[in-house]
Amino acid sequence: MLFNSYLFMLVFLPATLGGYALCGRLGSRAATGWLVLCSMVFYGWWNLGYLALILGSTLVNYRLGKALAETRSRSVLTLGLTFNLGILGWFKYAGLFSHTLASLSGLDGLIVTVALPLGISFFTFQKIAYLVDCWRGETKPYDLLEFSLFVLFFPQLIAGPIIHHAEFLPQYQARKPGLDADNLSVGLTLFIAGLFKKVVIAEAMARYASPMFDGAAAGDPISFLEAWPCTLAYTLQIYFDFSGYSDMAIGLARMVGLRFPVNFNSPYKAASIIDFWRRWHITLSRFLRDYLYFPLGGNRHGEGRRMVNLMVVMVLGGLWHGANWTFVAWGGLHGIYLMINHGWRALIGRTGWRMPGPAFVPRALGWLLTFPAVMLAWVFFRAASFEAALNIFKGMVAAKGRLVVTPGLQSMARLLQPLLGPAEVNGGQSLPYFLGFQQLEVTLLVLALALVLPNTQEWLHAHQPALGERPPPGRLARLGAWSPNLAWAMVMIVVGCVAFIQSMQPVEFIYWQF
Amino acid sequence: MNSNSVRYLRILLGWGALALVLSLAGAAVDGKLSANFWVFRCSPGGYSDEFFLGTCADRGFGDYEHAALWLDKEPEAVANLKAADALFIGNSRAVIGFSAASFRQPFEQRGMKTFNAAINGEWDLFAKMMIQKLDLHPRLVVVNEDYFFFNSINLWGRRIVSGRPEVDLEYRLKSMAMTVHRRLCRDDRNRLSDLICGDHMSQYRSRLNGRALNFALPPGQALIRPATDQPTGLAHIIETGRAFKRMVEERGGCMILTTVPSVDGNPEVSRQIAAAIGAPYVDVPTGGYYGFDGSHMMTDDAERWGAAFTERAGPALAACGL
Repeated sequence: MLFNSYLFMLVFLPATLGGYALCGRLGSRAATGWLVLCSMVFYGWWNLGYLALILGSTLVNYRLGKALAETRSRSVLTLGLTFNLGILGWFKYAGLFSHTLASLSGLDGLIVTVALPLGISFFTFQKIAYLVDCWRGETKPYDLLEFSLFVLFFPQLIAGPIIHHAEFLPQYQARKPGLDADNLSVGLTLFIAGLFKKVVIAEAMARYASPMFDGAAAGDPISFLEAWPCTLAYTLQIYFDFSGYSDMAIGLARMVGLRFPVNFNSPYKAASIIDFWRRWHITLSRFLRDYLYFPLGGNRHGEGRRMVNLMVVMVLGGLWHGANWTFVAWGGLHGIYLMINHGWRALIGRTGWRMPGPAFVPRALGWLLTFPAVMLAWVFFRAASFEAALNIFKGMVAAKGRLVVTPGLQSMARLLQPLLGPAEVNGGQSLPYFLGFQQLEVTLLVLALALVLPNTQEWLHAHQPALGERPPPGRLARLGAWSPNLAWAMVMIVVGCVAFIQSMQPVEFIYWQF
Repeated sequence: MNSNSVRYLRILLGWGALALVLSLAGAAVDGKLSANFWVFRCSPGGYSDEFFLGTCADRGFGDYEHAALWLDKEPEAVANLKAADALFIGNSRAVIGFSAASFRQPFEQRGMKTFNAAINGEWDLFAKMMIQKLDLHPRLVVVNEDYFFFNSINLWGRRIVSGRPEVDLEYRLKSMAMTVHRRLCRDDRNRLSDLICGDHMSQYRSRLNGRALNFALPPGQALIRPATDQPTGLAHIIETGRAFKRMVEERGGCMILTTVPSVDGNPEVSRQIAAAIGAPYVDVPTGGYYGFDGSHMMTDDAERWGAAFTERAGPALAACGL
């Protein structure tokens, strides 16, 4: 069940909230039990077999956590980590490694095919953090029902944010069971905003980006005019899709009175890669920092070791995103970016050099370096293979025969001529993955939304929509700050109706292409 | 604050629900929102005593043809499949190519009962499992050598063979929905039909011989340009193809290969694969055929290709003792 499905919005969510309000009258444990039950239905709707897997794993982790809290035994911790990483490794990476091994050895019999349980990467990390903290003595005692809710709670189960037990369980224990109008109005507003970002904006960008990436995978030579706009469209698609889903998750949790940590903070406004990773998928960055980078030694053993640690963290972070070597390349590329960025900062720190001119100039230059770098890395993230990525990069650098325009786009070719040389006019044929100026206008408008407008957390700043201290919002966010009034209700009705209708659009089942 | 929130929620949920209903109605009326969904989105033109809906090009409905055979949802089709002397298997291009009347001619001339068990988007593993599950013993198996032998099964097939009860339930529901679809959208249309029935691309399959009928294909046509590159994993394809041939022979049958025009298949490589597997190959030229999507033949072109197959099939059939 996805948050943007009718089943979720029209049946599951109202039933869950209604049941939670009723159970809240019977007491906290009844309300907790109801949420656990609803979360099991939410997860089991997809596959009953994997519900058994997550329940079994929850039970084992609960017992291991208890044992760790009592004994602080390193061997129990090792057992717990092996158990969780073993499950993740089998379900997520057995296919990748067996294919790699088979292609290296030529033994096809080694190939293993395993279906991936939904959200396994997210809930595995959550449990690992819990076990490590039990071992460190940083957890409080929780009962099995509360622990089950921490793992299974449906808003965060499939795509995060990655919730830390210390910010969920104490908060849950301290909450007042039942529904509250303030929480509901903030939560519903966030949910609608997230739905709009996901099904209207991200889907619009996907319509530009997906055909180009599919074409690249199929071996169609990607031209310059297709590679850049479609990669930009994907850059925006992944942001609005993922941050929209996170907003919906934060909104859903808030409806039952819980605050989740913020997961995105306008990452494309970042003026450096370091800044980007403080704004993008924040709960993952936090996990990787606390449970991988710091245990590896962080920056405590000199600059060289720090760079190695950064690279290890980013490569493993890349692999976490998907079982394909292209994700490793994406992570590795970001690792290199981070090493360069830290190296530059260290150099500036040592020399005390300051860029002359107004303060916004270094920031603007930083953005001009950061945004394209992030965009280029997304090619690896989205491309089906290294060949497909290379195909797109050839288009980006206008390799021989890749600078092609249609007769209608010759004005654009003239604009590019001083930079790239004369373009070839592709008489009579269209560029299949570039829809012309209209595509550029829409994509640039969406980019402007991401760069200029405040994000949802900033709009709702006064109502503390998420956990964690955020810097005070800018002028625009203060001017249009959300509050539960008639004007905002009208805005959200319009936004919600557009998003809902969009989410009802039928989706093509494309099977002819096989 | 709390009273403001209560008022906000009342407006948002109360007026919002009304606005949503009006928006949905408005969107449906002016065509922004399709009121057609699931099976009702697909063309109902092909239903008859002989034909059932095999595939509906709506992601929510999608495939039924796997279940028709594997889950015995179409018992008459399964009975005819079991009785077939010549079994045709392959992917979506084979579904269309092997459905041509001209293609069946050499088999029917020899008194053989045929069944086209090719499945859209499918590879060899489903066919292999189906032959074993239904204990089929055809005298002849014709395979569209569009590489095909990947020892793989597609996502729809994987769900079907999983044995999970919810999958069986889902296909039982699809089977029942077809009855409603046929009545509401074709046989007994009413005002509701105008609202919910669409005319989207769909494909019907025969219970008698598995042949396919296509409805509401997209307009236009494009030349099918066969691939010229080499596939990856050729050794794997050959090895799997040999194992498949052994299985057919162990069941008392003979396997012949041919190539339906394909944008993915290089005819030269198909010849090499057939030679390496050691199966008779009916070498039909693949150039000059048009497809509605540049990849799957138009009906007339399929007939033309079938006739060319018939002209050339003699030696391969003779090699199989037919």
